[in-house]
Amino acid sequence: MIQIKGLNKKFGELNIFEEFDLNIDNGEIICLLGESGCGKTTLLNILSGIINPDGGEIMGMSKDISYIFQETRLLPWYSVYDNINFILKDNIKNKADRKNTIEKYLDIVKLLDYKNYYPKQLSGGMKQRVSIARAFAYKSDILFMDEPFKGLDFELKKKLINSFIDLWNEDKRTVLFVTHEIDEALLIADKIYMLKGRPVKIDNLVKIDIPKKDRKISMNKLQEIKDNIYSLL
Amino acid sequence: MKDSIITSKKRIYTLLSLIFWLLVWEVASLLINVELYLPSPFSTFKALFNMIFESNFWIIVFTSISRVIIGFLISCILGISLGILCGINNFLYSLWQPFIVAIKSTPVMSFIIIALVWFKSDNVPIFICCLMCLPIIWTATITGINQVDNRLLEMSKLFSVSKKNVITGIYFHSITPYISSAMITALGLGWKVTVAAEVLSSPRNSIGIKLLNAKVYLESAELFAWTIVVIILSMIFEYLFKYIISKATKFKGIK
Repeated sequence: MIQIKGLNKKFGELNIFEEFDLNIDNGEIICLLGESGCGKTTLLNILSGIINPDGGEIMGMSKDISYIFQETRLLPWYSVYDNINFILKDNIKNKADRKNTIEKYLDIVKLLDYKNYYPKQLSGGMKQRVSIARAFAYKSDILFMDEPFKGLDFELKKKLINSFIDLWNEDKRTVLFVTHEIDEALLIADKIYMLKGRPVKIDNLVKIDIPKKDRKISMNKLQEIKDNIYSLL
Repeated sequence: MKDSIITSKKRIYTLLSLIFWLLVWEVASLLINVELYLPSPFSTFKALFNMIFESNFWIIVFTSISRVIIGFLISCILGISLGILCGINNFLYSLWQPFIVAIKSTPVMSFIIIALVWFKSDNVPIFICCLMCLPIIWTATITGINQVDNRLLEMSKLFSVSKKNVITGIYFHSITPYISSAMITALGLGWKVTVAAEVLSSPRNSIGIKLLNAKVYLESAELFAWTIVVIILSMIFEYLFKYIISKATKFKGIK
């Protein structure tokens, strides 16, 4: 379990976190739902070590993390295969094992036929699928996702979410997912923490116990949860 | 189709401009009418034709070429490796920057004279070529490194990619366009300074010593002919190098 206790972070006069607490259970998909600029990405950056907090304690945080970014951050000069190979080289020394891992994850996101393509030749959605496969191919204890479906149309989003769920069902690791889109949170999360205010606080917690594979945004139960979230906003 | 028309048009323009400048040269030499000051294109090309069939012409040409290549390659290896190190380490940058600025601002003649004291005459042109090309490659490498996408570096840090793989996988590819254009500039300069150094250091079998002899014996046509050899060699090298670079760095995203 990851425990965040009394976290403080300021950017100049802007007080983002003050005595912020959060517990994340292992193997769960936690969604942080809040308006843009409320501090969600800052929290991911603190947990992943990109930026340092001003104070507080973070316990149980593993060094092995993987990340799905809003922009895909693929190397334009490498093929799909080599992009994943690039981050695996130091972890999986055996070339054959590496090949198996890369091909396994590319197959799950249905991009195995495109392994020799370059990012320039892929659509936005395909590139994001590569970045999702890359994050899962890398052995980590926790996966961070920073609005990876932002700016994509609904159909594409659905496909990507399905790819993500397929991968997660194969390898149920802890996921911390940041978004401001309620639908995305409803389809993926086990728990939705609603963030509000400045300094940011957890305003509410919504739990969803429907198996992810069975979730459809038109389901009555999800619609009820959605209405509930709107009423809490 | 459109591209091939544009290319053939370009070729015609190049040929026409060459003919135009040859005519200007011919008219100027007719007006001056002193072969010593300005030999005619005819006498220059006649001298060039005679030179080509001399027994040691190709030995001289290939010896000078080898000096340029060795000097250029050393400067590339040093410039790129030093540039990468200085680009990712501020202390090393501060340490090497004054040295590079000093090389850039020192007249090439000063270096040639100093090198004449330090090295055998055969090695002076190599040293000078290397020294003069180094700042161009070094500066381009640093510029390339400063342009590396920080988001890619952040990504590789989050996935704990080793420094070695970050250098070969991110830095190297990001700096390639900068280095390749700097190499083309450096190669042109390399030819000029190598021949200049050969003139002063007079090593055996060199274009420089041929230029010097032509000047000493007032053989202007030969002086011009050797200059044309240098120009042609420099152009061939630039063309070949551009071809190699375009083959090596051809963007793989286009099948």
